[in-house]
Amino acid sequence: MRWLAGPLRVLVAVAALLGAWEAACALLALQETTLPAPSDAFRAIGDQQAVLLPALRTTAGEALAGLGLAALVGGVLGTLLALSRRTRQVVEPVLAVSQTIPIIALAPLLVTWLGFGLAPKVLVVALIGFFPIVVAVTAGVQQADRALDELVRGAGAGRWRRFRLAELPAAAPAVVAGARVSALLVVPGAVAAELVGATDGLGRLLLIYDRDGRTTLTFACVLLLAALGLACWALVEALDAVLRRRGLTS
Amino acid sequence: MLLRTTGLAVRGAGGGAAVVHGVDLELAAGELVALVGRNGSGKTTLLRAVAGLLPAQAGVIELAGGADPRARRHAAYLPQLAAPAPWRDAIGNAALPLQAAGVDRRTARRAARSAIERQDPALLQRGGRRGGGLSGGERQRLLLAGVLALGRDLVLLDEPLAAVDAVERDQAGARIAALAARGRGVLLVTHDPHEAARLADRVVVLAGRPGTVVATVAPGPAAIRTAAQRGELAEHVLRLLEDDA
Repeated sequence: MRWLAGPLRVLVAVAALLGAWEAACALLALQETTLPAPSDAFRAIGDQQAVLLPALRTTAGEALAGLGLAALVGGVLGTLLALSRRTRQVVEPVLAVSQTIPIIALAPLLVTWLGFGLAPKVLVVALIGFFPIVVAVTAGVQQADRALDELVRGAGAGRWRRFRLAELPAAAPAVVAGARVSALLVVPGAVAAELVGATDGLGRLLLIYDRDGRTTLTFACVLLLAALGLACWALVEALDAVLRRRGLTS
Repeated sequence: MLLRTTGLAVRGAGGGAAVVHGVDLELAAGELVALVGRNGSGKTTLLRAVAGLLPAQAGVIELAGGADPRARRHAAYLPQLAAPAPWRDAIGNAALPLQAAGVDRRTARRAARSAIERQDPALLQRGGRRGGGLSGGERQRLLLAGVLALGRDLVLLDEPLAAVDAVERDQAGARIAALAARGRGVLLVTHDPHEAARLADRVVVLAGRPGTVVATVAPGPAAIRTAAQRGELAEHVLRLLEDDA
């Protein structure tokens, strides 16, 4: 039941936050156009679900595809860097410098190159999300127990077997930590990419509703995006739970 | 001769100056040699080099009569303070050295299980436990069983009894001595003169900075040593260590 405790705590926190928000709106008698209560926003989600849910599906697709790509690229790159010190010495500074470029600033360029569709969004999300995973894998393998590593090497393991048997399993907690960071970055990343130029998605709706002064619907979008972010986070928690059952994380 | 080093010098893991130099060492099948020295005398560095984990700066390491770099396949190495992997159960941990040697997981587990059955059947009750749920002594015994499952003639053990309690230490010591009796060669690193006096057929004392062999005490087979002789030998080794200021 331990796996339930984390998600349960989050649900309680979310409920408390929404409750406080609702109470504040009622007590201060705020106009719905200034700050709508959560109940108003939820009602708006119900009323406009024909528009909002397809947009949610689009943004969710971008975020999840981007997270998947980030995990794949981050995992492969992290492995390559972990396996070869020379590669790490060459590639790591380049990676660090690349991370000083605001990815969002690249988004308009990506739209120019790749159009208004899914591709530039997934790419922006992946560019934002892969770095924490690379860092996690390369830093994580260095957590490997030295004696265990020597045991494996002494038995005759080459570089790859050493990585697979001693280093990678030891890196699991770090990789989960990195994935947690990535998972929380992907939804904001997808929205930012949509704000630059999109034909669909919650980010685009957000822009339209805000321009038209439809505050309640703007907040409806925000709530849906927050829920999507939580879902991405829950995905990593599920991964953590699976690894914990196998003794890889604690 | 299972192992012969000639004029061996080895740098530490981080490079730099030699940690041991001019080491001449021999070990025959069926013999248990204890490598004794104070902290920092280079015992572990020497053992790592023999295990093939550190290159020789100078000199030669011959295993089973060959200087072939692949000859390290002849040694089974248990590092100091080795702890089982928490993500593997007991059998899985015992199977780790075999898997590292390239044996597939299923075969390695089967071999590890039968190795434990032969050497230390009491451990089998712990078969399903994750590494983290084992006592210090069980951990050591488990990894020792795994390393021995490699079936190699030369066994290199770095302080294998360090985490084992007094009762288990006697049993584990006897198990290690039995390896030599069955024809394997055992090179045992220890800082404890009494352990060396109890188990070793021959005691090699390492001293100096960089460390080198200052004495080889060869009182004959440990199996026929009386308690008084053991005490005498331990005292002698202790005095040799005290000279290494």
